[in-house]
Amino acid sequence: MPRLQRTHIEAYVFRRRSGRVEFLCLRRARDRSLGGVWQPVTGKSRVRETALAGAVREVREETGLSPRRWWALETITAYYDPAKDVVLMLPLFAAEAGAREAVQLSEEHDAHRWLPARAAGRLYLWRRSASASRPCAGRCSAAATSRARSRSRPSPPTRAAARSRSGDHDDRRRHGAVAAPEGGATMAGTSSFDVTTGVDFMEVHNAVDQATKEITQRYDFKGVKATLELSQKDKKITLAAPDEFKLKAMWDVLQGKLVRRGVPLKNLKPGTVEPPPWAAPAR
Amino acid sequence: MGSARQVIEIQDGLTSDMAREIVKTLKEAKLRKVQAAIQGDTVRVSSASKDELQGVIALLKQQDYGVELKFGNFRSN
Repeated sequence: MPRLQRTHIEAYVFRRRSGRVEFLCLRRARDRSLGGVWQPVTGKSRVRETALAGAVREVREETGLSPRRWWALETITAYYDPAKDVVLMLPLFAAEAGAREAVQLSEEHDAHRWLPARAAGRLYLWRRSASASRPCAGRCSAAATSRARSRSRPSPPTRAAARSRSGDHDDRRRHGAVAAPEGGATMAGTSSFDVTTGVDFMEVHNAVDQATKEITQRYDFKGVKATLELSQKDKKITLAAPDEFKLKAMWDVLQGKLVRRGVPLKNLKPGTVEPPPWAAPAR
Repeated sequence: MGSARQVIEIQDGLTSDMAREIVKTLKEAKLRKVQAAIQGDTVRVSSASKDELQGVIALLKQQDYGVELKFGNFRSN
């Protein structure tokens, strides 16, 4: 008797861009099983992990995306694997990614494309994947329609919804929207961005290394004990040299390296120079 | 042997003063429909209108807060 396995999940990540719904297709890397095959995000949920949590994790691991809106699709996929004599049942999820979010692939895949439902369906290997993206296309264009209701002209997703309405579209409308398990609450129809500041510590590290190398090789620093130290924890760079002129030269070198590595100098605040003890005023 | 020392501080993330300053700028600019919320070392700016948000970026780029501002995590729902 075949075993029943319920560990796997599939997530159809889509985005809305200029009025079109596009699905994320991933190509499996050549050195993996089924290399070259196009697929949606797939994976296994772990022990004591809900299918949704597993889907969220897999999407993050395989694409670097963290969609805020998730839907559990009404259907599940079931198929039989004769090699293992296992019947697999997969919950399906749809997730909406931001229109401009960049995909970062894991080692598992070597290419990705954003495609309209129909083209994505043609690319996916399995028919079940092709059919699975269709209801979520209907579902999300329904969501798009309700939001775009105020617009006078029907936008492309509305027309797509009209096409898919030939089937049991109204049933699909009832797909339960699942609250995203993480991420902040957002209002519908709003856009947002974050303002922050900061430096890429990797680049600062490189710049400090390069500056150190240059200084140790410089003629005027021959036999001089001069050090640059980066402490990422304290967010500080400490320069040490026998005198203030050397210190100034080091800071100049470091600035040059930082600029070339794209680190904003504005974010670096040089403190006051502590003179060496022998230069301190005699008491 | 002693040596001269200089400590360079790296500003990573907005200080709460900078964040407040940014929110203040936005409030004074009287941009309608724009909300700004301080979230730790970032300020999240949201609005129903993307044009307004573009205006916010242009406005903030003109200001000087003593650090290089980064704009990111663009999302639209």
